[in-house]
Amino acid sequence: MIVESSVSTPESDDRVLRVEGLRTGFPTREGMVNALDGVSFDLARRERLGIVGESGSGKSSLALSIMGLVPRPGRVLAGTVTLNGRPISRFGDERMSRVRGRQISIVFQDPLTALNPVMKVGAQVIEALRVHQPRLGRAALRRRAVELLDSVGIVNPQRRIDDYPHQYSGGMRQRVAIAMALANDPDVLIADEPTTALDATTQAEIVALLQRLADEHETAIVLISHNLALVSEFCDRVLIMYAGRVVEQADVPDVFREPAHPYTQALLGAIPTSGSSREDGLAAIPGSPPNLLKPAEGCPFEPRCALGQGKEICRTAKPPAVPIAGASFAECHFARPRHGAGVSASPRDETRTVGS
Amino acid sequence: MLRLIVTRISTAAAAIFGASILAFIFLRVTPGDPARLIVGPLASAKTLEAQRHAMGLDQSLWTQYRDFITSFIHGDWGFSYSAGRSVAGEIGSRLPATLELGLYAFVLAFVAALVAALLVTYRRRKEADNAARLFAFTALGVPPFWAGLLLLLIFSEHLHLLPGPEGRLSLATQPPGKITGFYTIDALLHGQLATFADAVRHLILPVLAFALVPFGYLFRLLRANLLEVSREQYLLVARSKGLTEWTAFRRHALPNACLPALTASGLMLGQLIIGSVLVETVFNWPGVGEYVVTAITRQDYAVVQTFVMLSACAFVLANAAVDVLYGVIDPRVRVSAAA
Amino acid sequence: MEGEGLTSEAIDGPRPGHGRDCVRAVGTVMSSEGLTADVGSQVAVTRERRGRWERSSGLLRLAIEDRLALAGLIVLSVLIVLAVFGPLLWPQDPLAVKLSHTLQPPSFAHPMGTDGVGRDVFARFCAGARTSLIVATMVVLVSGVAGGAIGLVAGLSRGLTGVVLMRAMDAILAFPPLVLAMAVTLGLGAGVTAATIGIAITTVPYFARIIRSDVLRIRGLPLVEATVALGASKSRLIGRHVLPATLPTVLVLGTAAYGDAILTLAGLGFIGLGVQPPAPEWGTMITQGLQYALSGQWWVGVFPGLGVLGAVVGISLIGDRMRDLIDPTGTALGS
Repeated sequence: MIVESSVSTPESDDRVLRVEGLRTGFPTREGMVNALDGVSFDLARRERLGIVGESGSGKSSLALSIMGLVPRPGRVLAGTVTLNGRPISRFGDERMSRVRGRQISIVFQDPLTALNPVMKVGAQVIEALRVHQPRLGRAALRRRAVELLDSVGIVNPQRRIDDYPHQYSGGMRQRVAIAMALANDPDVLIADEPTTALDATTQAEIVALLQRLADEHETAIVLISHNLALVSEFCDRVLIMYAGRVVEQADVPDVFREPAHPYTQALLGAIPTSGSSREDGLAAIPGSPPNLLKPAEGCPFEPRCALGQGKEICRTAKPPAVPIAGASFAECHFARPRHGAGVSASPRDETRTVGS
Repeated sequence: MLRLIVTRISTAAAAIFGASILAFIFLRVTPGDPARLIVGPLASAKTLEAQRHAMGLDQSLWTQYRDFITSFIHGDWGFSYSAGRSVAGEIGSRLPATLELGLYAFVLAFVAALVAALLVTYRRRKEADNAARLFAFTALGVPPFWAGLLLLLIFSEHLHLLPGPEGRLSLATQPPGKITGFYTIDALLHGQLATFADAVRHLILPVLAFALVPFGYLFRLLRANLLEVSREQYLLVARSKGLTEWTAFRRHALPNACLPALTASGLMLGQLIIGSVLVETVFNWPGVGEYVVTAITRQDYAVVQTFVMLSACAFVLANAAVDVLYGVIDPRVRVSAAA
Repeated sequence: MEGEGLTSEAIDGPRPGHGRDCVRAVGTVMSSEGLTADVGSQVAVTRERRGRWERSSGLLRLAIEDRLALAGLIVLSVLIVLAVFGPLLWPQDPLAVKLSHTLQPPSFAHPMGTDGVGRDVFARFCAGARTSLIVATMVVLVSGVAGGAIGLVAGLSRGLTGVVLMRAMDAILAFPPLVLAMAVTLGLGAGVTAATIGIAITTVPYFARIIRSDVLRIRGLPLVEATVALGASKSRLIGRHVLPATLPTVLVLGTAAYGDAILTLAGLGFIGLGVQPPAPEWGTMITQGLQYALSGQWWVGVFPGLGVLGAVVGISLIGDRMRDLIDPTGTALGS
């Protein structure tokens, strides 16, 4: 990993993806639902970043916003997304479509609905190739498609390429989705809950597959999940999202040892570990999800926070991003930097290496 | 696949059988004496008896039914005294007129419905939704014969743009030599452009009146399908691969939305049958529908009987064929039929 | 289901995976020449058990909120008022021939003009409204009850009875509805009664199918098994559990059938098989109007058609709104 100077240049070449102040909203009859309320993060080449949050935290909206696929009438309200130095958030659909599938790809959660049921699987894989490599002839496309299916672990790809999606299992279809996403060697792959809809065995297989392919293709991965354990296995760094904001960012080992944000702490407490006994019970997080229509004045987690519930400052003031260590931070009034001695760097400072 | 075909054919056969019983009951076993209608009120008892015998009305019901069925299957559909020839012959010679009208109407209805549905769903707006609903219901709520009347009033009588209820051609024009029976196609094949133009002018209003109900129906269907399909995940996946919004829509959403419209084709045939009865008389169009309506007023019941049976057969078979066709197109159906 | 190609199921038909969304906005049912409102086939309500009155008045209230449905309600109400109070408010006799006043254009004395033999078109319009609305009501009631009974029996039966009944329904569905109505009216002798019976016959299978499928589904619910296990009698079961659950679907289907009945009646009148002249009926009036189309006396045929259009669109909008309220997503009881 390259060490960057502390003066951040407008286009840091090591950061393949930069998201700054991203806000996305969905207008409804009752008002604007703020799915994303100012999200910022960076992604380095070949890095593995995890994004964790409960339903409604905005993690899927984040993925869609980056890809420019926010369904109408929702839209990105503010902020920028920069990919390889180019401001893709300002691209129209036409320009963005040349970027999608080529420099950045996404795999969605439900493999059963990801493929067109009346079109052969091979045709859909070929489509992914042909969009960005129009010069390839039919034979070459077919060969490449077979290779792709093989690389994701589909047995007997020459035969199966002519099958229809309903002849594939869920796990196999997810492999196809991954194959399509990686068909053109993108720099970034966003995986939005890729294993949630699969059984445990298949989950492990898919994760292993992603790991292997990410290494081979040198692709940076953004893994979105509600499963902390999965993220810890797979990622170098993790963002914790709540109510459309990133409330904590940390390196994976740190976030497990010393979670800085009360929400993260609660999440970790909610995971049954092999050490806990049945009497301990499942520590659920009390309270209900935040209201995205009328964002709270203060900290959005306050009503459910073991630490700050009821406290004046938490109710009325939005917590700042308190730096914890290096690039890690937590948005909490009570967070303090680790190791005491002031590393008074801002969360945007890139003097520390990532994933070390 | 074979299993699907077999199942559908046997269901169709059962339905036709049941339909024939119904038709027999209503058309033969009814108050009123068909024989009397033919011989007239002044005929003697002996003539009446002879007629009844000739029509087989003195046989048992079961024998009558058997004869009814066998003669229908053999194509012996009786003699049409209002036309002066066999029912089969008259229907045969009138069929092309009805088909020409119906075919153009259906094509127009489908294209218009698709365009309209696309307009309403591709960029969705709340006001458009309401307008679309109203539009569809109006198309479905207009009696086709009244639509014909309106069209005639506006375009023929008032604006003098299009011909009145003269039938397929102006009085002065000779029909082209018969190849298909479609005046438009035959005229083109013979190079008779003036005839072609005349035929087209006479087709416009009837086709519009005819197409209205199928349009309404198809519009609702396509709109609902398009709405549903645009929510499908595979559309989003296609876009994420790099297809533009329109290309993704065109390649993945559109076909999948139009597919179910195919199942509507069976019902469209029913529409064709009903439409011909209701629209042709308005325009003096010499098709099957006009024939049947005239036959009713002239009490030429052999025609009506044949028409009823033919309609049932056509309707049932068309629906069966469509189901099978759908099995060909949607691979999942073959699986479920075999299940 | 048997006879698939011929019914509402044809649309929702043989497509696995779409079963959830069976509303599809297209469960179209009726097909005379008017496929009016659509129906959520196989639909029931997952609502708490409120009183039936409360539920239907709630429906009415919500129907009014929708502008289109409100417009439909207004149009229909106007027609009902004209039908019921027409003769009281408007003194002209629909049957009074007045050869000195033939083919008068609309005026204050004759708001819809006079027809070919001098009769007041407006009076005939109101009388025609009465005929159409009454016939449609009768059709829906009769076929609803008959079809419901058949569907109920077929749904509850475990043997030949059910099969035979549904085959009979298939036989009816083999015909395009207008054609069957034509056959029936011919057989029974043209007239308004025969027309009503004929249209009712074509409508019965739709009710039968829907009720039957609802009964079949409800029959298999744990709720029902539990009730039976508790010792409830069969009729009590039917009366208190099965029938009420099918009510919303039936209501929506009823509105679709209503509109179609009006259209079919007009069609039969047009051919000459329905209401017989000189009795006023919208369809026959349009036929008369055709004679004068080319000589410019448009009012004879245009107004009755507006009546049909208004009635059918009105009831369709109301029915559509009802369907939205009852089941916007297509979830079914027990699924």
